[in-house]
Amino acid sequence: MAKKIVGYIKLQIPGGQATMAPPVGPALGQRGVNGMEFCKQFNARTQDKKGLTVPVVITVYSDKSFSFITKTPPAAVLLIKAAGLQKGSGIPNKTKVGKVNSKQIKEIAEIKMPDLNARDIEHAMSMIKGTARSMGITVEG
Amino acid sequence: MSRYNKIKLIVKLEKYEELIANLMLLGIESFEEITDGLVFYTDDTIEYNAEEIISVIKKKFPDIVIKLEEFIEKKWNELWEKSIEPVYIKDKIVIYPSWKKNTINRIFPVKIEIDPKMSFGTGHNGTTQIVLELMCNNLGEEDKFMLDFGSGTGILSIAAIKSGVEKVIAIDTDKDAIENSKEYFKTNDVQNSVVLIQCSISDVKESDFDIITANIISEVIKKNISIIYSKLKPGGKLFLSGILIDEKKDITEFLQRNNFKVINISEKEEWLGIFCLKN
Repeated sequence: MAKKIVGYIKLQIPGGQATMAPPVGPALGQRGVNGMEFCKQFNARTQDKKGLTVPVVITVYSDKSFSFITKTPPAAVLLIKAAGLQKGSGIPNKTKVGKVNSKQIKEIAEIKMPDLNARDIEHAMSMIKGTARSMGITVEG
Repeated sequence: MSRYNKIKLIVKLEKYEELIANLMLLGIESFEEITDGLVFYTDDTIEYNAEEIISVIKKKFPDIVIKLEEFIEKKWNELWEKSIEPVYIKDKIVIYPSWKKNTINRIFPVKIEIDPKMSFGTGHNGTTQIVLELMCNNLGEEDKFMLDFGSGTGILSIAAIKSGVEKVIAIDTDKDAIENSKEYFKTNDVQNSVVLIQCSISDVKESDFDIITANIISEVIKKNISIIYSKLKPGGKLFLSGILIDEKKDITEFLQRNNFKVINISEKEEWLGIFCLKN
C-alpha cells in the first residue's frame, strides 16, 4: 500500500510492560493511534527486555495505522542494572550511588554501539563513562 | 481516574542521556521525546514527588527550563475509538470499525469491518478510497480472479470478493501487513476465497488474472510493469493508486508505452487513481 507518514512519536518505556497510562496513552491518543494495539505489539516484541527502558519510535500514517521500531536501552538503564541498583535508588550525585568496572562499561558500549554516534568502541566507552559519572556511579579498573 | 503531574523539560538533544540517567535514579522510567525536550509524568507510585524531582533537576541542570502542570488522565482508547468514523464509498461500500458496526443503519452492498492497526489500507486514506471508487465503477460479472499486489490490510481483496470476485491472491512483503490482513479476512468472512502470501510479485506463480490492483508507489509499479502485464489476461483490468498528481503525465505515457489503455483517471487530495486495460 502507498503509505503517507503524518508524524513520529518517540517514547522511552519499560519493555514488556506498556500500558495506556501516561506517557503512552496521551502521546498516542492525541495523535490518532490505536494505543491498545500498540501496547499489545510492543509488549510482545520486548518481552525479553522486561524491566529495561526501551526507546521506541512510532510512525503514524495518514490512515490511522502505525508501525514502530525499538532501539537499544539507554546507557543509564544498563548502568543501573550493571551496578545492581534499584530504580529510584537515590538523589543523583548527592552520594556515590554505586560502582561498575571497565569490563561492564565495555559490555554496555558494545550493546549501545548501533545507536551511539561513536567512532569506535573506545569512543563509545568514554561516552558511557561520562553518563556513569553524571549519575554518581564510580568506574573502577 | 488517576491524577498525574506532567513535567516538561526544555532541553537540547545532547543533554538527553545525562538527564534521563539522573531521572531514572529518581524512579522515572518512562519518557516522551518532543521536538524541544522531554516530557514525563509523576503520580503517587513514584518514590519522589514532582517538587522534589524538579528541585534535583534545577540544582544539577540550572539552564533547563522546567514546566509543571497538572494532568488529568482520560480514557484514551475510548476517545480514539470515538474518533474513527465509518468511510463511505458512493452508495456501495462502507468501511467501519467493529465498535461502530451497529451504527450503520443504511443498506450497503459491500460492508467491510476494519479496526485500524499496524497495516496500511484502513480506508481512511485518499489512495485507498480512489481505487475502491474505480473498482465500484468498473468491476463486472466476468471478473473472477484477482491479484492484490501490495495488499496491506487486504481491503481491496475484501471489497473485490464481496463484489463477486471468486478468488484473490493477496501479496505483501510486510510481515505486519500479512499478520493483520489474516485477521481482517477472517473478520470479514472472506478467508476461504483469498490466498495470502508474503512475497514479491515476481514470486507469484499464477497468471491469467482478470484484475490486478496495485495501491503502491509509482516506482514499484514502474519497476514491475512487465510482470503485471504478463500476469493479466488479454483485456484484463489494472487498478492503480498511490501515484502523486504531479506524476499524471509521466505515468499515463508510461502505461501507454507499456501496452495499457488508460480508461479512467481520478484524483483525490494529492493522489491519483488510474483504471486501465491490457491491450
